Amino acid sequence: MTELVWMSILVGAAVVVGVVPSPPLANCDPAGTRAQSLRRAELRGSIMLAVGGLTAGLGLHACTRGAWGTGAIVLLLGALTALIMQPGPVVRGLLVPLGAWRWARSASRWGGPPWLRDPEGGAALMGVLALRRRSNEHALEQLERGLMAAPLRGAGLVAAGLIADARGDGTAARRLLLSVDNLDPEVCPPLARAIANDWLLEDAASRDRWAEVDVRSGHALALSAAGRLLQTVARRLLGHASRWELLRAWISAPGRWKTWALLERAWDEPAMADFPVVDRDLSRRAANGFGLAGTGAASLHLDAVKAHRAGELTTQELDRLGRAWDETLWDMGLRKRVRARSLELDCNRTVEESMIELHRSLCVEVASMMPPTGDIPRGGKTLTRSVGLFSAAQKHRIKCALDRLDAARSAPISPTSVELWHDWLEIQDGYALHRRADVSEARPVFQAIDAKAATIVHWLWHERGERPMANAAATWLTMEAERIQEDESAQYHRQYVAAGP
Amino acid sequence: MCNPFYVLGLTPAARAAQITLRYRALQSDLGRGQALTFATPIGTEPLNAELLTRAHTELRDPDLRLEHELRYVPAKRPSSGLQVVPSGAR
Repeated sequence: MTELVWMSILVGAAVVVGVVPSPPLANCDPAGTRAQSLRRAELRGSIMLAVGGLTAGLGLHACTRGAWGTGAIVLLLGALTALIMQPGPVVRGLLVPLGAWRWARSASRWGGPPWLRDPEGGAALMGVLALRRRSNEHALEQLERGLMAAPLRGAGLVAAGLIADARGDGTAARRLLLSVDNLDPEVCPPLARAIANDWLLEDAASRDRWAEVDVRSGHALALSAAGRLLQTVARRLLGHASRWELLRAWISAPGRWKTWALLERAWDEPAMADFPVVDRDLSRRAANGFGLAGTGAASLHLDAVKAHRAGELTTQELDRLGRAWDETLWDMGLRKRVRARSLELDCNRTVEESMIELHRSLCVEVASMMPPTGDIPRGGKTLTRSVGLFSAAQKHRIKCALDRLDAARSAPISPTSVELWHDWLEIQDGYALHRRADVSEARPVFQAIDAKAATIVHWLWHERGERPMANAAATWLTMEAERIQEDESAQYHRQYVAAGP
Repeated sequence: MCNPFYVLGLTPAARAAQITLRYRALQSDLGRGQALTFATPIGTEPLNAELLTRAHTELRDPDLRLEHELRYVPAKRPSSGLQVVPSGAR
């Protein structure tokens, strides 16, 4: 009879835990994400306590009476219930590697760790991970539809990023996964953050950006074994890790056969310099002045286009290009040659008009190659005009994104939360680039954003129910308002920050 | 990287007749369904009918042709170092 008494005590305790809210729950906003995830955890804990008590009590009771078969069935049923309540380990250990995306999604929807902070997003994320090595557009659409069931949170954002990657849109994937850090940690399960970080490390490694791998992995709160291997390879290639460290990281990482090539490369490769060596000698890069305008500037322009396509255009290269075009276009010798050629070709434009038109089109191209990997260079006619064009393009980008968000408020078919988030990131990115390009006052651009963003944040929070997104937007607005000392705006947005996601 | 001279595989020394001849030859090759490419100083790119027509149109306009001549660099460049170009070539 003792086991039945214990069983009753445990079940009773579970009911008490389930019914009475815990002290932390009483202190937070009941509509907030923190309260919801705490409540979810509490209910799940109480159910597990009740199931554990019931199983142990009934099992022991049956065994002490010699009914071993019944005891075993009770224990089995108890274990099964526990697995259903906490499906995380089975999903990650079995369903995801098997590629059973439907099962992985459905099982994760039941919740439990690690998706207490975002069950819907976690379900979609597990589904995408199960699909990782297969292309199935129908499945991706279904998973994407699942993301609309709840506000966009950390796991959902990572799932949206991986869906974009599965569709071959690497830029959107990178942007979404980088933006996970913009969300409040309260709405971002640590596992989702780790998955995003691993993807970003792999992505940087695949583009041979080992310095980026080193910095990103150095800033990560926690690294997976695969992430640690990439970090060690990056450190080894940059000349900071020994072969022993590399070997240790490789042994502890999963998929040793697949990562063998990586180990081999880092093992043999000599350490690279920390900073790239830039050849500043203009004449070495050009073909000694063949052609009408000489090839110094045109040659550098082609080098810059090539570097820009590879995402490796540096400040020095851009600076050198601007100065080279200035020297070429304002050279009197060139103007004489152009005049002669213009007469041969029977051109309609004067020499001056031709040079102005050439300069305009060059500046548009130089602006389209901005920003370089470092600071935006200044000085000279070409660079000044290009920076101006680039800055104006950012303002236009911000305006378009703001208009889209504003239109979404009254649209008959509202955009998805991922689309809204993309638009918000457009504003943030545009503003950051504008600040980098424009040395003048950032206040007018911020005020233009703030004038519309305040209404958009209000709509996201109260009408659309996207509290985590509204909180992230308000956090950014507060930070920027404080930076440029717009106290009134900062004070307004701080209320959304204080209320939590 | 669509300087019309690269698209047509010509240099700024090409005459109007040469441009038209090359355009027609490439157009007929494309019409037969051949997959064509053109060389630029930073790599090879696929050629299509739209690029070809635009290149031909732009080179027939003297103002645009002059602009492209000003930006022309030979598609095969030395990777580094100085290259001595005979003075007659200038």
